[in-house]
Amino acid sequence: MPNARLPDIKLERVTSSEMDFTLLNAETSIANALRRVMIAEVPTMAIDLVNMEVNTSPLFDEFVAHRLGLIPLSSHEVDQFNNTRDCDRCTDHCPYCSIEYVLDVSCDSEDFLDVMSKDLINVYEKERPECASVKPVDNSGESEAHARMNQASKSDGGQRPPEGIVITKLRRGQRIKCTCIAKKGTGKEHAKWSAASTVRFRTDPSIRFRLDKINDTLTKDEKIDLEKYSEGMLVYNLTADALEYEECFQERRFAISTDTIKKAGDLTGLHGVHPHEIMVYNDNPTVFNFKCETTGVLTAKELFFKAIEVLMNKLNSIQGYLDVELEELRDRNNNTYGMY
Amino acid sequence: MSNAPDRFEAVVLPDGVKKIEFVVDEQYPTWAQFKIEREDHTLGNLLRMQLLRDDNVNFVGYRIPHPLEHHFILRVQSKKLEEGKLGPVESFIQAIEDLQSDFALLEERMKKQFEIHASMNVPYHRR
Ligand SMILES: [Zn+2]
Repeated sequence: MPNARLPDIKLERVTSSEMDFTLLNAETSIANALRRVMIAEVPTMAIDLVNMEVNTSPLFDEFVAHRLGLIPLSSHEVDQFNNTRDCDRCTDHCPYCSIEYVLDVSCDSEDFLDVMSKDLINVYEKERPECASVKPVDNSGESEAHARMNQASKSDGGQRPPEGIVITKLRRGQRIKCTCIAKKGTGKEHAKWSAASTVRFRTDPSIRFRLDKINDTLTKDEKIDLEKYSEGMLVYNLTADALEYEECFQERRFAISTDTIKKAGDLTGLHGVHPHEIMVYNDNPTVFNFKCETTGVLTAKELFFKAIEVLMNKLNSIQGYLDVELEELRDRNNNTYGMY
Repeated sequence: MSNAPDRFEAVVLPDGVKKIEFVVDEQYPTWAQFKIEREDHTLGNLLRMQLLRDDNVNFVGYRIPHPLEHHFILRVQSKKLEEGKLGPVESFIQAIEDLQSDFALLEERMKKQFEIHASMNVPYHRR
């Protein structure tokens, strides 16, 4: 491993669906690969095929089918399922590669009736324990956001937030009946399979001032002038006669605005100091602050480790295929290419 | 919509298509070109950045020739081949091994972090 970076990682905060961490000693390519895989290449389960039998709801068939597809299904056991297209146990679909749901709701009352994600009945529930675990995500009362909503609705006497997800609404005499088949897939195929609602990272500011140089160069009035221009980033310390970074800036909260840079350049220019002398430019960031949040189909922890697994599988498969190719090449050329 | 390509085409390797194909030229043994099927910027940029760290590599670049064709092409040029120096294909193999060790290390260190975190039981460590 002569050129390995030996990256480090620090976990800052974690809940079931959210996680903040810092990647150290890495490069943009590592951070971005991780982000892209977490968003689009971690497999989950989602409804992919809908057979509509009766639909007298106000929404047309395709609309309902699309909504059904977007319902998050808890996918903690997704590794126990095959991809439907290369499942060796069936020709169409089976409990080892899919989940079948039945939705059959009709409205008999005067009131509107909400058809909810919890109305989906899992047909394969008894077939395999893994199948029973794949059900619409219903975090009502569990997640922080829902707890807050509950608290708010209690205090103002309003309604409790609905449990699960509304698929459509029915009036008296209307009915919806369909079978839905959920399959394994990745966000690369369709966003409904993405387990991530947010994965983002930021780096340290790429431009920093050399405050010692600025403090040596500028006069007191100029320093005060620059402080005004810095939009709160710099603070003038009267006793030390020096500009200092505001506390927040040191916590990597701010980037330096172009106005501030220009002003600093203009002021130091008056003293014959070139702008390059008062700035440090870092175009190769090594520290990445990540924030990620899942839809609830996987926990944030699962998402991270599954992403690493996907990346490792990618690299391993490339390595495997390359070995085969090289073997072929060697056979063809009768070992003339020593260097390959 | 009728002529839209199937969505799974970005993911599934078709029958008879090689995952990785590479071209080496007898006349220019320092050059190699790799065509990797059903992969995108995730791996393309990862390999490029990794190969740039290699002292034996002079040039490396990747491109995705067309958005509807799901492959990328990576070109590597190594420095002049001398005794004990790596050729482009060996550098490529080396890059993959380096990346594997990096991600394995990341996984291991994250597992440790979770253990530490669980023992502290503090949800907000730092804001
Ligand atoms: Zn099957």
